Amino acid sequence: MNLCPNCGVDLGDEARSCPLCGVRVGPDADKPGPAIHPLPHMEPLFDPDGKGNFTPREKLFITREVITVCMAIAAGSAAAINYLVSGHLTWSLYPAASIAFVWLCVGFPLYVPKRPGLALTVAAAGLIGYLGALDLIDGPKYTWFVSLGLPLALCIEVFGIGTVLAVVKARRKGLNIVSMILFGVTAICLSIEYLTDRFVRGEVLLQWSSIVAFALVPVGIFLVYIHLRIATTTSLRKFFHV
Amino acid sequence: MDADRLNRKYANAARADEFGPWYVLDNAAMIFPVMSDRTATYMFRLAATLDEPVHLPSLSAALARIAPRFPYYMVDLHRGFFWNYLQPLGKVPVPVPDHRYPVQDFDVRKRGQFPFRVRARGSRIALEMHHVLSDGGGALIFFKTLLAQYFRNRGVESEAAPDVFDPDSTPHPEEYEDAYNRFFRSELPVPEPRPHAFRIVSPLLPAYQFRVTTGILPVDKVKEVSKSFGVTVTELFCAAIMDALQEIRAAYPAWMRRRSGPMATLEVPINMRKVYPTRTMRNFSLYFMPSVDLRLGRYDFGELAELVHHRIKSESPEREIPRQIARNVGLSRRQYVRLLPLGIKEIFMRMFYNSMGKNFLSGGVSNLGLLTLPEPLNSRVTRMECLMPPSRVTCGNLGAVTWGDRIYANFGSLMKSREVERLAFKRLASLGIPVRLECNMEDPV
Repeated sequence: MNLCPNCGVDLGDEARSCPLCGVRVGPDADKPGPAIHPLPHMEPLFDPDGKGNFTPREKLFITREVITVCMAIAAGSAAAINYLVSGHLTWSLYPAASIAFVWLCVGFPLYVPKRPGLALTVAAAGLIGYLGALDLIDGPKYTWFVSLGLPLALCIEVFGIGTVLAVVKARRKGLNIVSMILFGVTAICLSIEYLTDRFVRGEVLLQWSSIVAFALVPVGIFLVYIHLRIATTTSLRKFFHV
Repeated sequence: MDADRLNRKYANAARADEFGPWYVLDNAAMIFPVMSDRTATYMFRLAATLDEPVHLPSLSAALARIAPRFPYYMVDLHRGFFWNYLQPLGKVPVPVPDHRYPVQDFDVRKRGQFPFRVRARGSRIALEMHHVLSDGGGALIFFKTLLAQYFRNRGVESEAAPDVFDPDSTPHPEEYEDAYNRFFRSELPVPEPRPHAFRIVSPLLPAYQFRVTTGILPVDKVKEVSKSFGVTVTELFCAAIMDALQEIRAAYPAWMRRRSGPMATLEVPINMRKVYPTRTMRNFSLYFMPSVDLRLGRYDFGELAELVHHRIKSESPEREIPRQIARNVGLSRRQYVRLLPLGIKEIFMRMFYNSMGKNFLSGGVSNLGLLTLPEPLNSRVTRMECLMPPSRVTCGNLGAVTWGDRIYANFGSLMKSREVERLAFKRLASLGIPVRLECNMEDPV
């Protein structure tokens, strides 16, 4: 039997080399040089796991570069088209401002992955800047930003961040978290209608937001009551373990 | 987090907070509270018959004495928002009277109730344990420890044994763990779906009635017959049940055969503690599922035995069986599954169990093999038995134990039909095995 020492296959008596690995066999086994060129070491053509060989740090780098470059291309393309057609920049300023705001919310956090507070602050400031920029693009002076846009953004941010902080800082987490979110949503709805009424009509008449408040506040209070009753007798960590 | 650390994190079933310890259900146990009710209780039973009437004060004292050694069993089931969990009960279990119909009339969700009960009647002590707590492997250690302590209280000291715990020892942390999660390998493919199984059609017994048909067989003769077919005792029992199923199916009219599932598939539990290094006292069993296609014509018994033997051999506990862990644990770890409220999760669990488990089974064979107690207790116990959990859809559920020179093979059934038991024992008898039968209902087979 003419066995290949590498592959372990029977090659037949006539074979002088293994067609799989090229190694010489039989009487020519001692002679130097292969009869058939050995197959080169085959590198896989694609990653069989589909995961790539990137470290988490490299993946983060690639993600933020791709996001930044894509957004820059989108904003630049809009500006170029606008300039080529009109000779100056008009409508392209709106997508540019929007893309910049989205980048602040999505792209910037990837540059400061370990500082969520900074990312949140920049996104909050970005919202105010975005609304201000939209108003400035509309005309040479601020028209609606100071009386409507800025207070709206501040209210949403203050109540939103306040709710998040209350949720994070809560010593016992349970149904009280749901009630905090309900109270936060109610406050945001009331402030939105208050500010828009004052800006549009000059008088405040709370309508839809009061319906929201009537629906959510009693539910929130009930949940707080249930939470306080359960919290004194039951472990919420146990009850809500995921 | 690397896979091993993640597995250990999920496997850590013992938790504690300012209210005290509590336990996460193991991966297999999650489904049992959903599927069980007062009749299909998902309780299994181990019973020992002594050479004298049970002395109840000694049994109560033994139970109280060993209870602190098994803190993971001294719990009751609670309903959480996302998952059920177990909470220590802070009391000691007491023996209850045994009943003609075992493993019946038990609601595991009832608050303040242990998910197991120790029963006594005449000279018999029985442990009925719900699968939410453990499987036969864990329960057997608990039961042997109870028996050893009972005899100690009666003045009979026994030798130390690895599967009899010292009541004064401290539980090892591994005893609490969910070993399915610890030995989960995400890279394994999940098992392929199987064709539906053939099941007999029969009305059920009245509620809370459970027929137990016990066949008492000489172990040497059973081994001799098994050897003649080149199979193990478990495989011989599987073949006998499959033979019964094919007889029953052949007697059905054609339209019933067309409507029934084509496969005779049995569930044969394997104690995975023998495969993986763990001391867990929670569930850690998986299943061989030997099956034959009943549409392919009639098999003779030798052919059936051979088929079962090869099917079981082909499902290697090291390679094939862990795929069941990959399926069950992989599903329960998905974030969208974890975050579903329990009520919604239960709907999907029922669907999962019906489609992936129940419909694929005709019955099961659980053979605990040769049981022993440390000397001199062996001679004080005249008989040992086990019983598989009751099921409303499968009928060929056989629990077998070898005690001394006899095998006690218990068929448990909620169905009126006795055909599977009758034909299976008839087949064993026709092979030259002397079969002595007992039944807990009138008009035995």
